[in-house]
Amino acid sequence: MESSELSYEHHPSLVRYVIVWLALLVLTTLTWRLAYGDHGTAGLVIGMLIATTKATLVALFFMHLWDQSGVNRLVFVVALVYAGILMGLTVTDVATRFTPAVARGPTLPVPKR
Amino acid sequence: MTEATHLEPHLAHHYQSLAQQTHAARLGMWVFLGSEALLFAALFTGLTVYRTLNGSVFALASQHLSVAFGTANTFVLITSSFTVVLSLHFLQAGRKGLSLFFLVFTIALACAFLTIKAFEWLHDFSEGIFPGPYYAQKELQLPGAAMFYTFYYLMTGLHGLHVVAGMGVLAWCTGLVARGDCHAGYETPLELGAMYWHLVDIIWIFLYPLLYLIT
Repeated sequence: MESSELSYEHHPSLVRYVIVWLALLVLTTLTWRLAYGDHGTAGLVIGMLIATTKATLVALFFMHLWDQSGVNRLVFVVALVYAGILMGLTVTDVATRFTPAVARGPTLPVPKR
Repeated sequence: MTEATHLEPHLAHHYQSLAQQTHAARLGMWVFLGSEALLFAALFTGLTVYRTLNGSVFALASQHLSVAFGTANTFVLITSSFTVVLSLHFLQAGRKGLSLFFLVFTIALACAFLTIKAFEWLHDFSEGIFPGPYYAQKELQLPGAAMFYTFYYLMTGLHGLHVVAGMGVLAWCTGLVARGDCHAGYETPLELGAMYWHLVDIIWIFLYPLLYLIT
């Protein structure tokens, strides 16, 4: 039991927390700048990639998943997989319906901020 | 077993060791946080579905939100995640005073978050941005616009409730640390409380680009 829960004794250093915090601030600034460019769908994808990276940093280092035993990581990954199934399949359905099936909103030019 | 209980005052009788008990507490917290994540995942799915169905109206509606308020709140919440982890770090190091300082600082940042949110909502109200049938913004009268703001109020509101709950949890942890019921060698209550606060941060990390930065 004790051997599988090394983190019970191990405490990460202060330096690691500071580095993760600075990384989160930099990534937030990147996301914010992204909104002012004209990136279209790529902007959404990059924004989501940055958000996922930030959430992963928080889970691994602030929530100590990095140091914890396998079963906690399993719960985390299973929650992600189920969220992925829920969002992925639902959005795939809606986004691939042929036009007459749903009344879409108008496509209008979106001015830059 | 009686001797072990005597040596470990926080050890419940149905666990063999404090390490096993801590392990169970963490696992239980991860399961709870997983269910919280799925609750918000359902709302994110709804937002994405209506965004797909409404063409560029959601992007136009998003531009009426204040990016400044949203960005400021992102920095506040990320820093509060950092300060609560510092509180745990100093408690583990036996520095009770510093631990308490960073706990109170985290609660202060939570208050700052809610204050910024309140000013943001007042700013939205002044433009006629209300949820559902009360939507009254003159500049954007297109099908789907009211739906975007309904999602905006529902998701930021539910997240705000989580912030309030998190403040309660952190205040409770502050009491435990101050009384010495949570200390170096037994940090579990603060560790789990901090995990809840990190979840609140993670949800906002996704809300920020999906509500404020749609292009």
